[in-house]
Amino acid sequence: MSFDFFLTALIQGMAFAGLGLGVYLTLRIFNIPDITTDGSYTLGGVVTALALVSGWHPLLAIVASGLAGSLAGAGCGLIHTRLNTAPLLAGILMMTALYSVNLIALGRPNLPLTGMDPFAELTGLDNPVQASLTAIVLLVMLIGAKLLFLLKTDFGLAMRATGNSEAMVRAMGVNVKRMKVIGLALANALTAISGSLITQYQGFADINMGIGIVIAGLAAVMIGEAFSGKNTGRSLPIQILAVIAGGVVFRMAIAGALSAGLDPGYLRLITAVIVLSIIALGNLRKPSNA
Amino acid sequence: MITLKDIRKTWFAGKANEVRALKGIDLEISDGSFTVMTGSNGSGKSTLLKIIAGSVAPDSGNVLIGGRSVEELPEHARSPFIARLFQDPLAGTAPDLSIAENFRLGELRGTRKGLAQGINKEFRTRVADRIRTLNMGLENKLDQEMGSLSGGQRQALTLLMATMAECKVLLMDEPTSALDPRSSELVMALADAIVREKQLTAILVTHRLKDCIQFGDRVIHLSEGTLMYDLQGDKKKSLTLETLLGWF
Repeated sequence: MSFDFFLTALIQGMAFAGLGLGVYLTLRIFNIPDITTDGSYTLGGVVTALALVSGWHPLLAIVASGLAGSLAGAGCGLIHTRLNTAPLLAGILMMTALYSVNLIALGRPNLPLTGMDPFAELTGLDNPVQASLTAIVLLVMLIGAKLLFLLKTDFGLAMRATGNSEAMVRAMGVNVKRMKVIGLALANALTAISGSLITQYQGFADINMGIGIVIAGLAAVMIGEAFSGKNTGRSLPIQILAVIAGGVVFRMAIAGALSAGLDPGYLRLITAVIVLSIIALGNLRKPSNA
Repeated sequence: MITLKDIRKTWFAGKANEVRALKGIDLEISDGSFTVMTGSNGSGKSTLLKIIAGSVAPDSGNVLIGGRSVEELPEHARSPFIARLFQDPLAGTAPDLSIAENFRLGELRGTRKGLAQGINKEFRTRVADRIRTLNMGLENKLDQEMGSLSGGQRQALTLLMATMAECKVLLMDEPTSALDPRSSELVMALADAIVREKQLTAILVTHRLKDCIQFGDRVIHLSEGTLMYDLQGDKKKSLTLETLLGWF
């Protein structure tokens, strides 16, 4: 693997951090399987492309995509908690609806950011690779630190307990429905920011960029856990770092497979096999309950 | 004062497995009293406790706590004045959170959980001092995950947590049924001490007849959704095991 190839995978992997952390929040903190992800990731890209083409500052575009993502997440949360639908179904509905929303908003299937270099504008660096890497790493560090802070606050404790022991948090006076809506909003905001960063990095937003992307977030969470050990009293900073590192390792594995001459048509199959192997390894290691 | 007026509840109404769990319960429980509630399985006592807690809504009737009608309030809105101890020792705490984190949530019961980090040195000292009274050696393990403790330890800690925040009512639903005899004794003794010390209005649902004799200053017996026996004062004090057995 050439150094450039490695660097590209590193940048893409870091840009996936928001996606991984979004899945980590829903799946691990709230114990809700959410697949709004596919739609909110694209939504982040769409909002970013439209904002940049309209001349917005890249930072503003990122904030706007986060807000859009949180609306999508809150929508899914409201469908789940107020209409008592299963979270998976709520996610499918939201994701399906978002496809049309994204297409109408974008006005066409693909919007290129011709002649723009948002990361250079953000960092003031001329070298595009340096600029992307600096901007993305700084943003991901900021997001990780903010998330860590949030999870340690009193509100964060209530969030973590919600997915852990619902009877207890209800008795403690937490409005569980409201908490789940906030959690899904936060998770999808993070996912949309990932979509925003990838759009800025690749220089275009595409209506299909989010299809199946939830698996990349799952992979980031699970690879991270495979390396740092699941359920063994891992501290929060370690858990968050593991998700970010998991996303990078995942992109590296994909890049490695591609550079070894793998037909890109097999990409999704390989992804599924990677995630399955990690789950299988984890489950085979512990004795079966049957 | 907790006042229940003509509380009715039917599960699976209109279906083949319809259960009329409560058939019009009228009950007044005075402040600072400790009531023990017994009854066979399916007599409706757990349903009644859940209706007071707000996790189950009655079909009809009124629930008044301190003169305020609460039957429309969901459980989380009643938490400022009600603390609960569940049958399942795992239900009262969050297993993946540490002891300190669980206690912080206990302290914040019924209040806003804001964006401050409340677990500081002062808090840890305060929690450790409270936990030390259990004599379980847990005061040095504040950062240990709750899930790593035994059922008895968790139930004892849940009791302490429940009373970290100001509360007026303590509802206990068979809190010792999953515990070994020694842990049961310990948890019940602790519950009794806390109820007396904080002058709480307590309701204990139990199947252990010994607890009915030993604890509380009033015993009520439910049978098929109606209130069959209600003994207070000297009558409760002179209650014997034989009399109790005769109720079932």
